[in-house]
Amino acid sequence: MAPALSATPAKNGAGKEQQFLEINMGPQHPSTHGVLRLKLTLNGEIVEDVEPILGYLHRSKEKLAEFAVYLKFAPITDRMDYNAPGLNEWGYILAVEQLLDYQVPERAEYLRVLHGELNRIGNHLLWVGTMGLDLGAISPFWWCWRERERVLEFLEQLAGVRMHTNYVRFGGVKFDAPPGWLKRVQDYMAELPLKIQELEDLLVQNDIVRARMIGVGVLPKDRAVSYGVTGPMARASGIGFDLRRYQPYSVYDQFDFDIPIADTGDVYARLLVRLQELRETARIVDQACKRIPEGPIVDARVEGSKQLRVKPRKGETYTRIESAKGELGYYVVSDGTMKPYRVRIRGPSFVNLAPLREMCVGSKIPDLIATLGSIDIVLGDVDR
Amino acid sequence: MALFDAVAVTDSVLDAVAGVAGLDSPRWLAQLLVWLIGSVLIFSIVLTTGGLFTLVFRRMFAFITQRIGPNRVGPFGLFQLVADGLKLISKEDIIPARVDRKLFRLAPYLAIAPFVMAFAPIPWSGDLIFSNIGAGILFVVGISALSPLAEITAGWASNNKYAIYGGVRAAALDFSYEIPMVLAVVGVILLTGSPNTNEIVMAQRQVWFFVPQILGLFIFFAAALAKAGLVPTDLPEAESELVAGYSTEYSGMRFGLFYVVLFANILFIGALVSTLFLGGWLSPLGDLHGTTILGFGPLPAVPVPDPIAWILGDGLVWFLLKTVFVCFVIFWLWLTLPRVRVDQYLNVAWKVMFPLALLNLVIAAFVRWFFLG
Repeated sequence: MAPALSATPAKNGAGKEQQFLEINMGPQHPSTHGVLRLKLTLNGEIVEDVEPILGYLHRSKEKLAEFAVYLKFAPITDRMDYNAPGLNEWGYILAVEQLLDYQVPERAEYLRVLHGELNRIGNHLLWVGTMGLDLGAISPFWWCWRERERVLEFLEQLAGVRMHTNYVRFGGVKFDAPPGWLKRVQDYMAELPLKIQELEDLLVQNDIVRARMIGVGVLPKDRAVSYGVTGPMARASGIGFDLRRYQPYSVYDQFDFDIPIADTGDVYARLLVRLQELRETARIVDQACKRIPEGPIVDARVEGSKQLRVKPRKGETYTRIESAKGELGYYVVSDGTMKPYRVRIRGPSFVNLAPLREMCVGSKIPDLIATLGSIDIVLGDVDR
Repeated sequence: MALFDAVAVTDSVLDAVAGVAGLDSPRWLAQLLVWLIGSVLIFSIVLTTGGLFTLVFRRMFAFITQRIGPNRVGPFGLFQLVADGLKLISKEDIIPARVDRKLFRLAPYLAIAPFVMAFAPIPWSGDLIFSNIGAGILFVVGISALSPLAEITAGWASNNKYAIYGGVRAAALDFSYEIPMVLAVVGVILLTGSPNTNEIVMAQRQVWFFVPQILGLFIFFAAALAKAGLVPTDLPEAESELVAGYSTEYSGMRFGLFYVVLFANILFIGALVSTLFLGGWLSPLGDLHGTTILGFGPLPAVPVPDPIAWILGDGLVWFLLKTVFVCFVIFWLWLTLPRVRVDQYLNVAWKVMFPLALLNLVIAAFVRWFFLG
């Protein structure tokens, strides 16, 4: 705890010790994005101290992983970051695959990218909507929800389930794309930038939004690095770190896309970065739809029920992917049996939440709400 | 236009009824009856419209966000209002432990009373005005200034930190924006030469006051929105910050009353803006009664038929149209804009609106001096 930030009662004008108001924001509060509890120390409207209290959604995921065969943990990871579930399971499968020696067919890699990037679009749309809601604008939320619904429909057509798709398998994916699906997705990717433009018209150029966002919740570059912040939040602080580019996994080295970066590190920069990232993601999906090759969708050696009986070699791996919120890492230890010996998860939401106190102390309550919203936390991912 | 004398009419009706029994009805009875009927009428009009607006708002919200909205109960979902009301009334009446029970119960009525009273001197048409008092608009402004009392009372009585924050914010906004709002009204009074609401409307026969007082209109509108706690200044009940502000602990019909007051407030702002700046019940076509149309070239002059004159000429229709238009603008803003921060908007009140309101007053004085002598 930095001493400069500590909330020691100050002397007021009359020389008396000033008393601060302590207030619990959450776990039941409209804008803590789940069951996060913030212990606020307030001086009028000014936030003197904020202490996030976690654990209300702890479901001991990491322990659960040790009780079932490898595949059965994949659908459980879906429930971590439930705004972009497909990316969680992809990360887990990718980690276990490091200890297996299956060949993922090219078509399956493309389907994984499509599945993952559609999840990312859904996540960012949801974020833009709830950010508007946190600022008190109700219409953008519904507009985003409408677009997200389209994305979820695509996921349903692909995997049979809207949200917790449970689609990625060892050595491939579960289903091939249904007939006409790629065309429909591609058509929608042409439409999506127009919808993003609508959102930009409503939010980015709005004077009230600018007044509420610019210079609020600033996280300087060096502080972002020392907190280990990743994802769009780090990119808004000027750190051009994206695992899809820095350490390309799957087939990301074959796509042409930019990493949007802003350098102000405030809430407004996070909005701009995410809106731009939506466009870039649409570009990736579009290219994937064009280039996807024909072929099998899963390694023939692990087809069907063989999936349940995979037995990774003895060893350990830390594998990370760029999830919608930042670096999602899985540390998997295998003792050569059919169940993991240990799974440790690095959730991006949890790490990104850490600098909240530094960003908020000294600002007003509405700024706190805006800053908290801009981090893009999902409590399922924070608590796991 | 001669005012419709409701008391005299009622008196004659009463006299006629009493005359059958060979009695003479006193005039105070007629006066009392008019007061009673008038009060009930205003009360039901304000509350029903407030309730109806919740439905209109939800439908509009749905259309703006490309949904359908409540359309199941009755034609166009019109009876949704009844369903919602029944739901709220039938809910358990929860008064949390350790609240100030008396004040907690009193607050919703404190919230409603000023609005119902403030509607009394507003002219719905030339002769439909419930209380044509001389100080009209001053009475309206004064009574509506009581509204923060309810918010502070509710916030304090709830014994909830969020509620107190809501109440304090409401008070800060109310006191800050009362001043520019009243100054904008003073501009109108200056142009009219009388605070009487009906005279204000009739003084706009030549030109509606939004032309010379365009600055005043914007100041009044923005200040009224802030005072009412509406977007972009719905700070007292900013749901993403303060849960529900001063009404956090309220549930059932007590909450429903606060909710209806919010919408009655919108109706109130609409009525006031149209009375002060948009010519109230005046028709842009003028008073059509007794005028003729056509009458040029070979066409014979035809007197305007009465039903058309009733609808298109001066009167209730135009007042309602203007009011609904202003309410529509408020809804529209509500659905488009995010919320400003409380310190930003207080700064706007004192550093921008207050000087502008003074400037507007000077403009009004000059307009009066040059054009009205």
